[in-house]
Amino acid sequence: MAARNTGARPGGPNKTCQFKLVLLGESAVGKSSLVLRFVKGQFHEYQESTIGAAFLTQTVCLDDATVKFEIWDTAGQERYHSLAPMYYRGAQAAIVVYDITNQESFQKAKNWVKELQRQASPNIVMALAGNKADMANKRVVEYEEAQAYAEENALLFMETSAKTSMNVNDIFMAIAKKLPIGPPQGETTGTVDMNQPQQQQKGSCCK
Amino acid sequence: MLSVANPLYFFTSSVEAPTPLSRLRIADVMDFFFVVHPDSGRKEGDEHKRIMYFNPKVEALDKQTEITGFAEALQFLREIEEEFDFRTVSTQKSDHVYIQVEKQKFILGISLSKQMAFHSNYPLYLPAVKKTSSVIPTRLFRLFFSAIFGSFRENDEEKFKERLELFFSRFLPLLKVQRLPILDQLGGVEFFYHFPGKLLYYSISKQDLPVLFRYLTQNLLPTAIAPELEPTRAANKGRFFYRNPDDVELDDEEELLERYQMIVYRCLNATVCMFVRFPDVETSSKEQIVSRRMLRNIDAYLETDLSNLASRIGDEIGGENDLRPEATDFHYVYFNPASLSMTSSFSSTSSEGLDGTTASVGVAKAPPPPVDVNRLVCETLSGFVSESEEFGECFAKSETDWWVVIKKVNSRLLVLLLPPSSYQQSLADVQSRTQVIVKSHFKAIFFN
Amino acid sequence: MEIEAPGGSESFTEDDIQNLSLQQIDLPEQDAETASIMESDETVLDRLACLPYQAFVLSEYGRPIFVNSGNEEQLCSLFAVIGIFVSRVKLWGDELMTITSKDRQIQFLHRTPLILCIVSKYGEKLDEQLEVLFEQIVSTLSRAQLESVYRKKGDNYDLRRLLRGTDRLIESSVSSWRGTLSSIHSAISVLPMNPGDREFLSATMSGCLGAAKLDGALFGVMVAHRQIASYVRFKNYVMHPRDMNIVINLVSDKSLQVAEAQTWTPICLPHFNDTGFFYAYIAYPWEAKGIPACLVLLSVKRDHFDGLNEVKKRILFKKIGSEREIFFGNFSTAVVKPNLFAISQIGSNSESLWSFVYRNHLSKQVCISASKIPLISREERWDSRSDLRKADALVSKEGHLRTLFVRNTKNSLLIWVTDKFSLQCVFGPFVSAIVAFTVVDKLLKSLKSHEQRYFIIHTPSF
Repeated sequence: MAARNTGARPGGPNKTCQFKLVLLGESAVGKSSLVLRFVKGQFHEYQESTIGAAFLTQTVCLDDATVKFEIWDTAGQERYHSLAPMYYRGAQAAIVVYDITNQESFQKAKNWVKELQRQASPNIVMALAGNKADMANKRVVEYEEAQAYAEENALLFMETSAKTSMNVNDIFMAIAKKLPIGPPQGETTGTVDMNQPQQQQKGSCCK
Repeated sequence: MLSVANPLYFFTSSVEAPTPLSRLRIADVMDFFFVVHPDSGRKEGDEHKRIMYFNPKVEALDKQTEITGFAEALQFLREIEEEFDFRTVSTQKSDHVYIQVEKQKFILGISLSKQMAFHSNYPLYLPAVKKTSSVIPTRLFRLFFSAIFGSFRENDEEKFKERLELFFSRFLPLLKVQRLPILDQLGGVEFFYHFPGKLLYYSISKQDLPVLFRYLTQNLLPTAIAPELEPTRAANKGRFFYRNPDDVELDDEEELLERYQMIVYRCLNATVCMFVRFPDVETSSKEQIVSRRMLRNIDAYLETDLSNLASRIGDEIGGENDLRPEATDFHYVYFNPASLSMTSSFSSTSSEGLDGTTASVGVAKAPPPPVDVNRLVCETLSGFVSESEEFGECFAKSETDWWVVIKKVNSRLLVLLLPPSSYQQSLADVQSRTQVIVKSHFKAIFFN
Repeated sequence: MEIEAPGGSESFTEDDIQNLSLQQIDLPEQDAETASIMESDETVLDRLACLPYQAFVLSEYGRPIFVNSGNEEQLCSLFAVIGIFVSRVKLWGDELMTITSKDRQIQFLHRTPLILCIVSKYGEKLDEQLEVLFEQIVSTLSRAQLESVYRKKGDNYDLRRLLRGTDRLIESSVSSWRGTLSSIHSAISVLPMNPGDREFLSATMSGCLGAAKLDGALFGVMVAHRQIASYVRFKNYVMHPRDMNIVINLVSDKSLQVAEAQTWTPICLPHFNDTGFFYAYIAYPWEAKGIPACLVLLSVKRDHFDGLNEVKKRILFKKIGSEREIFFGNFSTAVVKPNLFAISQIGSNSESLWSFVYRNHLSKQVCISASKIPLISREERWDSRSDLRKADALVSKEGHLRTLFVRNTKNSLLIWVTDKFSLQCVFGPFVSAIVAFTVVDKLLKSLKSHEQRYFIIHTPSF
């Protein structure tokens, strides 16, 4: 699990926070590829469809904190739809992914956004990712259209490419920065006790 | 009114030999049997016209059409075109065999009920059923009516149906199957190691032999016996059964069909079946190939000689030269594919003579094998003794403690069915017992 | 001769009633677009004729659902014919089972609302293969969902929508059945391990699961190479071997072999309960070290992921110390270089024995011998395997068969069936019965004395 350093000041106080992040979107838009790129720096042309949901972790370093993402990469197939709440319940962040060469996937993404707005935590940080940006010649969803939609719904928005790695780290970083990393409450230990049950604390996640 | 000259005359079942335990009538296990000509039923609404023959008649026409339609639809599997292209179908209740004949123009189908087979202790083994119920009647039908099959025309359809009706309605009730299906499947012919009803000599092709032989012994001759039993009849007189022209077509060396006239001559218990070939050149239609003069000559020639031969054969039985194996405490089947010679302890006349009397020679003292074991013989033979290999050996034991032994040496096949015995507990025991049996009973036959 | 059957006597009884209500997964309400127009293609049929087998799944109403190695869209006329045959026979109050021709056998299975069909050049146990295929589909949807979807969405519903992404699992289920002898026997195959190591592993797994007190967590399995290294269970619950093979098929999917990921997925185990779902926690904890062993933890509660994730961590880090080091070293070797039963260990005269398959009927486990000359190359093994398969099919068909000994110029086969076990051996040609049985006797003794290595004799419960 390599931590991604982005200019942490050496020697500075470093708090570690962990956040649950879920990826949603239609089957074959590239959710697993995005995660694979983010976590392992790899890309496979013929990525198999996800079985159930895959759970991975990845840590990023911000200026004043280390953020550990607990990522749920969900399968996009129809039969799993009703399981989605299981994954986004209690999630602090969500990336809704669509494929810029597939109009239907964009519609589906909008549905996911609606669902999250209705059912997920009200403070959830949401991002919209228009994946497969490397296939611009087959584009059917215009950047502006998606951008406008994202603004209307207060979503982070980037077009990404797991293949070229364009904007992959960036979108996670953007989410990390938006996540509430407040001053510690109570204890000042800089580590997370893994054996403690997860607790949702308002605003801050750090212990 | 059928005259003596018409072969169908002999299919009247006036004399039926009692069925021995080893065989049963196919009618006892049959659901239905049919012959269809698909081309006759292509037009929508006219599908029922494909049916050339259907047994039993009581089945509604709708159902008949459905059943035959199903058989026709099975052809969706494209296979290499071979004369007896076939399909077998197994459902929960029945086993079916469908074969295409005459260059795919006709389909023969038969369905056997699993329940009836169970009650009759008949182990349904489809390859054997296929042979008995499809191959044989077709060949037989073709032997006598090939002109009809081969030159089938629209306007002959009614006549064709009539002939089918006559043929099958008499043939089917007489058709028997062996409880040991392997006997039917191998399709051999019992040679003169036992008597009566056995073959002494033949010179026709092997393709035709089993069918003709079967026809003679199961159909033609039994009906002929009845008059012989009448005490007033002169014992030594020979008789002819002869038929009209355009009858038999036999295979020659190149497996082409040639036309012959068949003459059957019988004296005492000996029967000679002669085939007179039609000349290649067309003769004047007025002249019959087999003339009365010819018959008189044959009669004069054969009468004395044949009756002498018959007497001598009769004398041989029970004499020292009697090569028949004694009653055994095991069952066996021996088959030589080269000569088609087949002999078994389930011999068709081992418990009945053609005249209805019971002969006890050649009968095994062993109890009849259980149905499971009968079927096991077929399964092991077809599964593990390769047809192409000249050698093979197989031992199988059932939980009933019966053993099945199959030995193939120089392509000749010996099957033993050994009833439970305290002398054969282990495989080694059985191996040695087999060797003893082969030495004592089958040496001469097996290894020559 | 009374022989104690190697491989355990812990009987797996199907009568064990396992009363557990399982959660259901709701089907989606919204409809996506319908499938595109289908065409049939005659050349595809011709291509099919060349393949050793083809498996078809369609709905009762004739809609294609699955065909392996082929596009079901192009074969819709073939699917229709299959459907017609089955329904025509059904109308007659009967049930179509097989159609055979000269060199092909077609087997049918009707399990409402599906029709399954396989066309194969080899006729062995096709009925069982179709049952396995059906169960594989049920494992994705559950029987309840499978039946209700047509009620809710109509006869014309395209079930492929619900099966998307599972094609490769169905394919591997079918192909592993044809390639793995243990599947054919509806049994499980065990990874050979030192008895002490297996005990350590099982104790660790059951201990951690027990301590977690997750009410609803029922099974823990360690799988490698489609073999079971260890298997623990909650109280008296047992897993049917066919369900186990479904789990093995799932976890053997390459996409799950990722060091950094754990998978959480619903799975229905038809023999346990076909109305609802388990949830499987799947991890390859040592993948990064090149050890392809998979830990599977099964629970009926969908919110147990975190709990089970903790269990895994505890399993990995329990008893740190020399004991664990030794175990781990041995375990790595056992997984990376599996040590199947070597015939030579039987002793003298065993050269004539080329291969064997031993099955214990009570514990439903098989032991298969390691490859040995002259059965090394794929071709060589294929030939002997098909002989064994034929023999096995005969044993299935003729339940009264107890002994079979076949000798020909190629090899000799010995099949021995008792109430407790069955043994299928391939010997060299011209082996006498006496020699064969002597070797078999030695083999059984050897299996018995090493049974802890090659079988799971005791499955601890927590």
